[in-house]
Amino acid sequence: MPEILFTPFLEEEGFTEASITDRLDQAKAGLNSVVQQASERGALNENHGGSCVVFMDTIEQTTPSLHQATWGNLWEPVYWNLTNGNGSGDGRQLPPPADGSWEAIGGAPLEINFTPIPLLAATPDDRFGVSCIYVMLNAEVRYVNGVDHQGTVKNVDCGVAITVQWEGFKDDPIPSSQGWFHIYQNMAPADAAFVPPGLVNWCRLPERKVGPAALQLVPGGLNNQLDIWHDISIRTTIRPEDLMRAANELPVGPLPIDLVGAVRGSISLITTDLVETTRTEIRNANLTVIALRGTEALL
Amino acid sequence: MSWKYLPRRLITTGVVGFQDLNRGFLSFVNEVQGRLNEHNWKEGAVREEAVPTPGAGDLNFVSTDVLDLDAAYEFESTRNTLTGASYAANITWGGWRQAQWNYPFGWAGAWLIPNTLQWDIIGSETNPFITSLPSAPGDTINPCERSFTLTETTVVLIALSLQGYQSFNTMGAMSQIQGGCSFALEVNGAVITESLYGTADSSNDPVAIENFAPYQPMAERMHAAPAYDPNGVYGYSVCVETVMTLPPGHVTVRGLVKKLTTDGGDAIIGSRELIILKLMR
Repeated sequence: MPEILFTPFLEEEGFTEASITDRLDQAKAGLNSVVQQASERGALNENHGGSCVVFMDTIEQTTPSLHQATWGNLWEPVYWNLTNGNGSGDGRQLPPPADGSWEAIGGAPLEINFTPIPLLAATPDDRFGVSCIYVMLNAEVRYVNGVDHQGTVKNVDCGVAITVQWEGFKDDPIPSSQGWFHIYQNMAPADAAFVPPGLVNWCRLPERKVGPAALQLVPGGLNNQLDIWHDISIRTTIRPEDLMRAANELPVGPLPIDLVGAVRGSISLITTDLVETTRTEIRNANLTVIALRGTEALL
Repeated sequence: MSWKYLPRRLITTGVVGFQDLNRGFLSFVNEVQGRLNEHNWKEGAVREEAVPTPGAGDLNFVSTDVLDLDAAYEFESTRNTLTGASYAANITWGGWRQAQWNYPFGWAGAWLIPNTLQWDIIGSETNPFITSLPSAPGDTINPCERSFTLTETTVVLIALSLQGYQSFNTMGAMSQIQGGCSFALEVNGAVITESLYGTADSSNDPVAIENFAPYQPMAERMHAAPAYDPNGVYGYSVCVETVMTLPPGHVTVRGLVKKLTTDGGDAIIGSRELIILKLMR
């Protein structure tokens, strides 16, 4: 408990301006240095904290955007990595860094930037901070089509993968971006020692895929477009454990990721063959980010 | 209750005694040393301070000892690896979950919706099941279910986002129509009507029709419960959500799925995330 040193008046002490001023100064000093423990349990409630929404924003894409992955350009947003040791072309995710290339949805990125904030795990002593960013993403996939480059009829399997990514920052002390990160299932302990990517379990929790079966490409250009017309809706949360895990995702080692400064809707084209150009159109999309603070259930 | 007035007040003609003065100061000192309560803090007292800023994270937190537990939103975590309602699982080409030797350790794979034609809890499966996780007979894995207790009337946001897949079958190949699935949220045993998704409505239209085929919504063709993506290899996404005001007491939230026919192929659910936010107190 805090202790305020206060000298009581003594019986033989005279009331003078100096003695009374001294006691008032002592009381003032105690009030000005009031500490956390001075308050009773529940002294702060919803009236003192205001809204649990610290930050909220919505961005919308209203004009169609074209996303394309071209043969040979591995940096374009494509799920090239459809093979693993068990076979080829089965469409599963692979652990990072071989987990495909991603880009923001939209001509103008479907991305919300904000002052980088820490996401801190709740402990019995530290609460009421922001420990969750709630994300809502909706995107309408119009079609998938392809262009053949080899002059031969080609059958490929194409699709679209959409997910939510967040931009991590290191606070040192000026926030510096460490890149965009995915949200993975908690298959490995969040505070596990650094393990090179590929040796731990990485499966993206909010990734959603939609797509057709065989897309037959014939020489001569755009052909055999596959209509999809399907909304992909994703709801997910960005949590303190995501920041901790992101540190392990970096190929150079477990650098601390302290802050979240942006959220975006991301897209990657799925194809089972590297020799084709595949395209998709996102007709419209919207992204909402809500940073929430509050008390916390620990599990 | 905090004191509002000194036990003894000075009056114009009164005699000032040291004991009265000491009692007055003592009351004040006692409050500041540990008895401040909600009346001593003005409205919005921590509003600004609780907004995090870079480099000062810890300063923006308020101690549990001080904060009313029901002061703000509360997050119900569902991502626990073995028992969490949320679960990440790959759906591979063809939709079928792979045997355990095709997964890295820890991936139980996608979940096969039973052919029961009734509501089933998503992900609820009793051993033996295909997984690389250590388990014993009778164990269950990852039912999409979360229970908690509310101490007072609370607004709760519940959202379930998942990856689904309906496999190709002969009937689907012929007509691009086959039995689909319905999804819903269940709260305390009651299916929430507004969360129902995937019946004979346009939201359940196929998603992989080649462009030479006429695009016509399933609902307009009067086919009940068509499947998503009857020709697809990667499946479709589902999102159901609701905002409810719940009374105090024990609450159980479940994500449900119902396979609507048995004539189709396998219906599978991959990654799924159940989000529960207790928003306002």
